[in-house]
Amino acid sequence: MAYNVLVVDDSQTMRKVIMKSVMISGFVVGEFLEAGNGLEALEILKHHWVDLILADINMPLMNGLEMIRVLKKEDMFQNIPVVLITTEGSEKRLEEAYALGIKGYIQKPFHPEAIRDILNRIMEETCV
Amino acid sequence: MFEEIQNAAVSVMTHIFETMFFTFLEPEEENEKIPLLSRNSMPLLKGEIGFRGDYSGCLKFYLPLGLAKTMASNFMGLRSEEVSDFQAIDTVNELCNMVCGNLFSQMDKRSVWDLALPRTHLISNEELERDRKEPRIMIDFDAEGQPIRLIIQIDPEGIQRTKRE
Repeated sequence: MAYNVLVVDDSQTMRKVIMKSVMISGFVVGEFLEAGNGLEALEILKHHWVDLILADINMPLMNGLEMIRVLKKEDMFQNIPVVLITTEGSEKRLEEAYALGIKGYIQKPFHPEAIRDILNRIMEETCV
Repeated sequence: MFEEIQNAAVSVMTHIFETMFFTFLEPEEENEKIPLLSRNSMPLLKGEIGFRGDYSGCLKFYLPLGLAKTMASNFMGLRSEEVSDFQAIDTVNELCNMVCGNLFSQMDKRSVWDLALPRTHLISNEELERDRKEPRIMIDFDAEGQPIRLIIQIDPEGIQRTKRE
């Protein structure tokens, strides 16, 4: 089965690196979708089926945590797994993110193996 | 406080360069009379990012466009000649984000730090000289023969508050 992955980061370069890391990890991707902030991501979600969201926190217009708050209020989107890939390392902010329902967290800088391990875990949980 | 920040900055910079840009970084000796950056003849980029938490201030990075392109090429797995100026600038913005985010969370995991959006632009040697004279922590690095400078400025009010505490 192939999964559609939405990558949300204001850095186009980082989006490419994340997509490459996901490909290297062996995760089977149907389609990659890209957004530069939370608002763009919500717009994409209205028109595309997405199985997994990989999102940064610090972005213009709508940050990652604000985006997750909106997702969790929408029946259509609240069950899409979200993994944060961010420079944020503060325990308080991560506690806030987990309370909002994120499925995982990867701190930049990261090795592709970190992405592989989290994606494998999430997909195993989803299939059980 | 400054020494703690300086040591953490060296550790974070070294880790990020090795992990994301596959480049080894060495801090230059403080007694180096003419730092690598001053001997550089290529166009210079300045990346900066503000932060706010227990204290506030900003981080500034100075590096030649050539090094930014090498970093972008290693980061994205492209050949150097395939990297655009936009991608080089975007990579420096990401460097600002990663160093700032990791630096303060490494020093204190319980505090929450808000980061501004990073911005990067070309600068003149005059601006480089002017910034060097401002009060700050300044660390010069040798990135496999290419220079990069990190300046950390902390608002005086923040320093006073920390001293009182």
